[in-house]
Amino acid sequence: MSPWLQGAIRMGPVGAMVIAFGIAWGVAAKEAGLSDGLIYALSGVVFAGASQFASLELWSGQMDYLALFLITFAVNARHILMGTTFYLDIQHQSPLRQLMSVLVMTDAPYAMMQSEPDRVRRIALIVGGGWMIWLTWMLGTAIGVVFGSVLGDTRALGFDALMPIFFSVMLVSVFKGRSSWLPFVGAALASMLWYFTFPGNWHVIAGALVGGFLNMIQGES
Amino acid sequence: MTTQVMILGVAVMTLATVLTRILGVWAMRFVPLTPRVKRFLTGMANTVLVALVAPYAWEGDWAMRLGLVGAVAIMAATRKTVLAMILGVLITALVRVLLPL
Repeated sequence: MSPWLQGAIRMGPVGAMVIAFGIAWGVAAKEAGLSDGLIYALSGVVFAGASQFASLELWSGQMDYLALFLITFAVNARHILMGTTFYLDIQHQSPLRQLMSVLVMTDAPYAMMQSEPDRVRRIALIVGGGWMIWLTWMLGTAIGVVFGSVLGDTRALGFDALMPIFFSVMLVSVFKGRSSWLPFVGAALASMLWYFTFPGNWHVIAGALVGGFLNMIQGES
Repeated sequence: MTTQVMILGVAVMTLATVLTRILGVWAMRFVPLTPRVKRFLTGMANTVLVALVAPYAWEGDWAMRLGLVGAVAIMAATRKTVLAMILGVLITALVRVLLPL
């Protein structure tokens, strides 16, 4: 069996969870009023769940492309850090192969890669596993879209809370105890201050920049 | 929303996401990222979640707030992401049905 297929199969159990997330995304995006085509395009092409959820606020009214770009970049900034580690595995490959590998780099295969010593299998996890994630993400999205269409008005069912709940759950998983308090509280204050002072969605960017800055200077003492 | 806005929006998000996927590998070809830059990126990637949730916690109805608190508590206790999300939404729905605050 090819190592890529093996990598894909190893991500199978995680794929079941990705389907669940995909359903959540499809339902939340329907609830936010996005068209089916747009929902599928975001899953298939952007292929980064957290930033897709984060964009839901921005699709109504006058589109602020710069805010959309910066929020997407900030939410997906963890990819940059993943890439610096993954580089060690793919540094001797051609630029094209490197590109094809990182384009499907996602969180779950990256996490599983940490406990895999063999280089070929590590790359296979990212690439083969990455495509497994893509397939299950699209499948979940499709189920969510159909589900959301059938349900109609989903506010009474609490689905308008799905997006903030998704982020608050992720928040718990990245909370690292004492060292997280200063950047987290700082980001909360900065974003709320901006939110009540200026229109638009730049409070997200203000919060992320303050949080990033506080986390940076905190590590220096 | 016009089709043009949608296509452009998807393109903008794709560009931003592809950049994050490439930038780490690309930067390492020239010079390793310093610990300071890494700390900034980590902090930004984590706290952007705070900034996304904060307005909902502030302006949402009580059902949503209780759903958020419930989801956070369940996640902290069990570390089961999907379970926490489902129960959080369930709490919001139940509060809306049972006690219209």
